[in-house]
Amino acid sequence: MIGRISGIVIVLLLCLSVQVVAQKKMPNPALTADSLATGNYKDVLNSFFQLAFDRLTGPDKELKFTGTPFAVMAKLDTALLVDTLYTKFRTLRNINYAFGLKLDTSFKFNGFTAGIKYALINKRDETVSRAFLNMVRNNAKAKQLFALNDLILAKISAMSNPVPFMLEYTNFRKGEKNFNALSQSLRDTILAVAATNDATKELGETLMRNSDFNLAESADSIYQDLRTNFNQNLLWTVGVTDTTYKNQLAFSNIVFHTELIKGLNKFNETKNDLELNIRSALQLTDDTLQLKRDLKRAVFSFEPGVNVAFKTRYTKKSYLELKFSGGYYHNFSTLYANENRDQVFVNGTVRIRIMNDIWVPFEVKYDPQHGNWFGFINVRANFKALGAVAKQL
Amino acid sequence: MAKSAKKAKPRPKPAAKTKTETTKPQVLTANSLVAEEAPHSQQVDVTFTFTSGIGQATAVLFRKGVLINMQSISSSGVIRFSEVQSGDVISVNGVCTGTAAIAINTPTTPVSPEQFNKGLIIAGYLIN
Repeated sequence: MIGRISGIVIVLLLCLSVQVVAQKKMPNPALTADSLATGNYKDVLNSFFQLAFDRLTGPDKELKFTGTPFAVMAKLDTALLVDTLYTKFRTLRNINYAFGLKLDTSFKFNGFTAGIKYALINKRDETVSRAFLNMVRNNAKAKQLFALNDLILAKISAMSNPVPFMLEYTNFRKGEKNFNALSQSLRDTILAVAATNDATKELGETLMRNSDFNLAESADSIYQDLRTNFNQNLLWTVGVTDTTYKNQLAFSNIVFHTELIKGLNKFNETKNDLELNIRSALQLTDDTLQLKRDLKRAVFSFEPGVNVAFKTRYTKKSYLELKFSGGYYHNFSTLYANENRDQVFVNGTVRIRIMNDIWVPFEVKYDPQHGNWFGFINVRANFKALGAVAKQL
Repeated sequence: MAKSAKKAKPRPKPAAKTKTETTKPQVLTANSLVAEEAPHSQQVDVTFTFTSGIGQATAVLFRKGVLINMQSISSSGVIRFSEVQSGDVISVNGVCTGTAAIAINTPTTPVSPEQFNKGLIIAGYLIN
């Protein structure tokens, strides 16, 4: 059974790779929230679906699927995506559920896992934010483009033979032609109308300086910069995860957890993102000193950290992320032999984006008290629509 | 018998506007902001559909270089221009956080419907 599951996972990842390669052939690939989000952010709250193969090198491997109820509902009824309904399902979009299989060192079944997470504060969802919409609309550069569009179209409406101008201007506004690829008459018209209005004078000067000016790319750049800044906002989640025994459908482990992330360099035009990440959890597990199975062993953990995302210059996609965190653990229960009540760890995670939606995080944990090192390799694949994957299968 | 005075023909009323915004028009006269009824004028609907997010757009009707009508919309719906003539131009500026589709119920250059990805909406349509 495990072999079949592993096979499905490999096929799924290969299919995702095929999709990514196909997307590269498009002239202007659309940047999406999923593709631009940092790997750390997608781990905290997933907007659609995520498939994860955690701790590949550790004794407790886990194959995990994460999704949102809204993504499934929207797949079944696409009318839910229309804004008038979309905005009503904010709560459902802030819920993540997860289920998975635990595997031991020889990839044998070691229990089921399930979990649910809810975003108490999610100020990163720009898709339903009127404040974000107004911020873009009132951006000075965006207003210049809007004003230029109005002025040129007013001019075209006054022309005796407007069709050729309209077609050429349409190519310009869609980004299919740069400014220097336009006919001399249209270029002169654009420069003339831009110079007559205070709102577009600066844009007119830009057009004269930069003949390669592409209107669609400029518009996209304005939007993406504002969106990137907006995605530095606060996200705070709470949730619970449980694991069953491999030979009994009873909980062997329950974790109540909360996580907070917030950008530290908001509205800063630096190339890289700096993100504060704080996690805390209370883990209830079986006390193995007792004969019967219970959940009497309680361990509290607190892990504050900082995530640095290195991004590409133009597409603003993070390709490498480094996370440094500290970990404090407190055991509320009876201690085992040679066990400390309080423990401190130093953690480091390196996340590498190997393809558009596939991340490989490598985690290293150091115990300064005993000088022990631990390391794990995970694989995370984010994908937006289950349907696209299902079609390829 | 005194000749009865000729009754002045009432001017057609301007088209209803859902929301008006101030702009800097090009050349305006007292009559230029009135959508004059003509035998060949028609009612034109510009339908906006925003999906996977919200959106906002403003549509402006230009005739011979003059702003005739301006309306804004802040969710999926229809902007209706009551007196549109061939050669008029509709300008659309806006923002969408998901995707947007603009459909005009009369032949235009370029043809509609047109799809937009998340970002700024900058468009224009010449009424054929």
